[in-house]
Amino acid sequence: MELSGTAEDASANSDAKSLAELQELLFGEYMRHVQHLRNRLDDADLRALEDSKVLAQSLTLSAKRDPKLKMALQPLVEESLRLSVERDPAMLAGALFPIVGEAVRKAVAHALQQMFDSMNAILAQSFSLKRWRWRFEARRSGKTFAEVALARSLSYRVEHVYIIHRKTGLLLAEVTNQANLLQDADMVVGMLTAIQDFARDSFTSEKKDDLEVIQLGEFKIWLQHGPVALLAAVVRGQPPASLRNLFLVRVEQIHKDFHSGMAKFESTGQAVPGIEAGLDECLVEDANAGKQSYLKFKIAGVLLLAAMAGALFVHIRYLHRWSNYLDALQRQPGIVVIDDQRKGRKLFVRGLRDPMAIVPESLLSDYRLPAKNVSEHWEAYFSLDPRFANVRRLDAEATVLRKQAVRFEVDSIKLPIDQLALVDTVADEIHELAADAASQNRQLHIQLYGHTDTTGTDEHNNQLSQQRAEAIVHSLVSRGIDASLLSAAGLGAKEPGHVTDEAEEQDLDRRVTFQVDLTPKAN
Amino acid sequence: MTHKKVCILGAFGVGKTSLVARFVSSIFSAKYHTTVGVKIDKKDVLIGDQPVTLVLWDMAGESAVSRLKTTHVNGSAGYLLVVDGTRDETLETAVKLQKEVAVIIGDAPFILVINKTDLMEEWTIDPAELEQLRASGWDVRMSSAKSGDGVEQIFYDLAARTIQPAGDADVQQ
Ligand SMILES: Nc1nc2c(ncn2[C@@H]2O[C@H](COP(=O)(O)OP(=O)(O)OP(=O)(O)O)[C@@H](O)[C@H]2O)c(=O)[nH]1
Ligand SMILES: [Mg+2]
Repeated sequence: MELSGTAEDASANSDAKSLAELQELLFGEYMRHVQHLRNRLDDADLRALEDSKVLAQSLTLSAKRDPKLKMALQPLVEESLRLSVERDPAMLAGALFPIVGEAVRKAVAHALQQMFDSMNAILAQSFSLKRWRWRFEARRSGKTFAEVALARSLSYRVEHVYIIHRKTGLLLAEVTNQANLLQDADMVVGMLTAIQDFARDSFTSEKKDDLEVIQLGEFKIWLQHGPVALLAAVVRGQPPASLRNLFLVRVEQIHKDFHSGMAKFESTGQAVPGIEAGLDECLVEDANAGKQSYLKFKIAGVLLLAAMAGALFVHIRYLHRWSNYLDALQRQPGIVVIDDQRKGRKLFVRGLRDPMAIVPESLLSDYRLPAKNVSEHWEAYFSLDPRFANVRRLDAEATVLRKQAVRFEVDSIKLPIDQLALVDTVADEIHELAADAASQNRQLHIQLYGHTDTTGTDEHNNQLSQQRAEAIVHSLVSRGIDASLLSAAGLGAKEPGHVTDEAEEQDLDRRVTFQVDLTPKAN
Repeated sequence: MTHKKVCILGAFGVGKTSLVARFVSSIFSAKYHTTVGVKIDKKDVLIGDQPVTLVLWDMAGESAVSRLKTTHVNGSAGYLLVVDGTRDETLETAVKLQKEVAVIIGDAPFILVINKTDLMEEWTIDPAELEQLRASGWDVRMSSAKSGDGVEQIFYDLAARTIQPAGDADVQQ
């Protein structure tokens, strides 16, 4: 068995070997191939490497065939974009810069241009002196102000559009919104063409250069040239550059639509039917800015009126104060206003003033008039106003009484006979004084002083003088004078009445005098 | 409405402006204001039953200092060549002008106008020369802007010829 086994083994071995050889011979190649494929499938790294080679291609293919792929990818892409921006915004910004920069520059340039344009328009309109020129112009031309203002404050308005056949200079079509603005279109158009020819012949080095703008007083004529026809737009105001585009498009359209008609025009001279259709779209205007500036004008007007009203009010109030002040002066006793004048804010007043009247300048502050603006000239006079007359009379009466002196004999208190009449007079005077003082609300008090001559002792003289004063008080009271108005005092020889030392002058020392006090009555 | 551009050409002072004024507004002035550049006028006329608007380009006269602006002639349907009968040299100018214009606009109809017939006794122009031009096919007329003689007829005839179908234009009568 062993042998056979060995033999069997040997034969089996050789069988297996030959089988393997056979296998190798028959399938070796395929088996290695299968092994290789299996390796490729099992080895993740390798597969990734291989997929990566065709990924782009397969994505492209499937994107073409199946829109679902895009939808499936979209959230992924968005999310990763978001993540990437979150993580490093600078990176994306850097990547976008060249595009964004260009876009921003364009936008800014555009915005700037618009800003400049509108600024120019505003500048062109906000010059307020212009308004007055418009008024003047309106008056001169017989138009209404509104008409002139509108015409001038419109930021622009296309008044007239001509389509001109270039070669003949003849009119192909026209539209206008102001029929009588310009004279006959045929002639205007002819002149335009002639002007252009002239400009081209005279000024441009290249004969092909076209005249683009003609400035004619308040009008601009914009010319937009096409090969056969030319569009001339008469524009008032400040047209924006963008208006050219509108004209350009129109000219192109006309050349497209009416080419054959226009080509025949020179020989036929026949109007090209339909060419004016839609031309009125070129009669654009920007009334917005006009209205706005008109509003500005109104506001300015209202403000101006308000300012004028304010100034007028201040002025009137000033005049009003002045006239009130003058009235008050007139009402004052002892003041007569003769003349008043006003030069601008300077005020002048001239008149008569009783010295007893109030000081006129002291009233200025009551009427809020600045003293520096007022110049006053007053002549003195005595007013006959009863208020002053009474006061003056009272003073006069007091003065008279103060000068009275009742005389006495040597060393006597007995009223001499020749003095009786004087005492009567003094009593009358005191009566009147008392009545007047009462009527003028003044308190009257009369102090009687007794005097002696310088002979004799002081003691005796004091006593004597006291007795003389009391004697007169007694006489006056007996003549009906209120005793409470009077008081008596003796001054002895202290206030002699003589002037020289002659003996007979001593007679003047022996007397009673009167001191009159008038004080405002306190009630 | 048919529009036609017509040029008035000739030496200076021959009466171009006067002819246009006579035709358009029936006026004449003995004052001479020389035309600078070009002056444009227009007149609506009826040729048969067809209304035609003539746009008249009254050019500055030819002189030593001003030369014909060829661009102004462009697009003309016809033209007048004006000559002053009292100045024979103006005929030479007209003949010279005709040659220049023909180069620019080709065989457009034109009329040679000998102006100032009211001053006929002062004319210096040679009638034989006019006959020669007639014989060569030119339409030669006479006019007076002052009296108005012949003026209207000249403009109407030129207008009529501008609206004739092309080809008949240079057929002279
Ligand atoms: N007697 C007479 N004078 C004429 C006649 N036509 C024109 N005139 C005079 O001639 C002068 C010149 O006339 P215009 O019509 O100005 O001449 P123009 O050809 O236009 O001159 P330019 O513009 O300088 O080229 C003027 O003084 C006219 O009055 C005419 O028929 N008879
Ligand atoms: Mg002239």
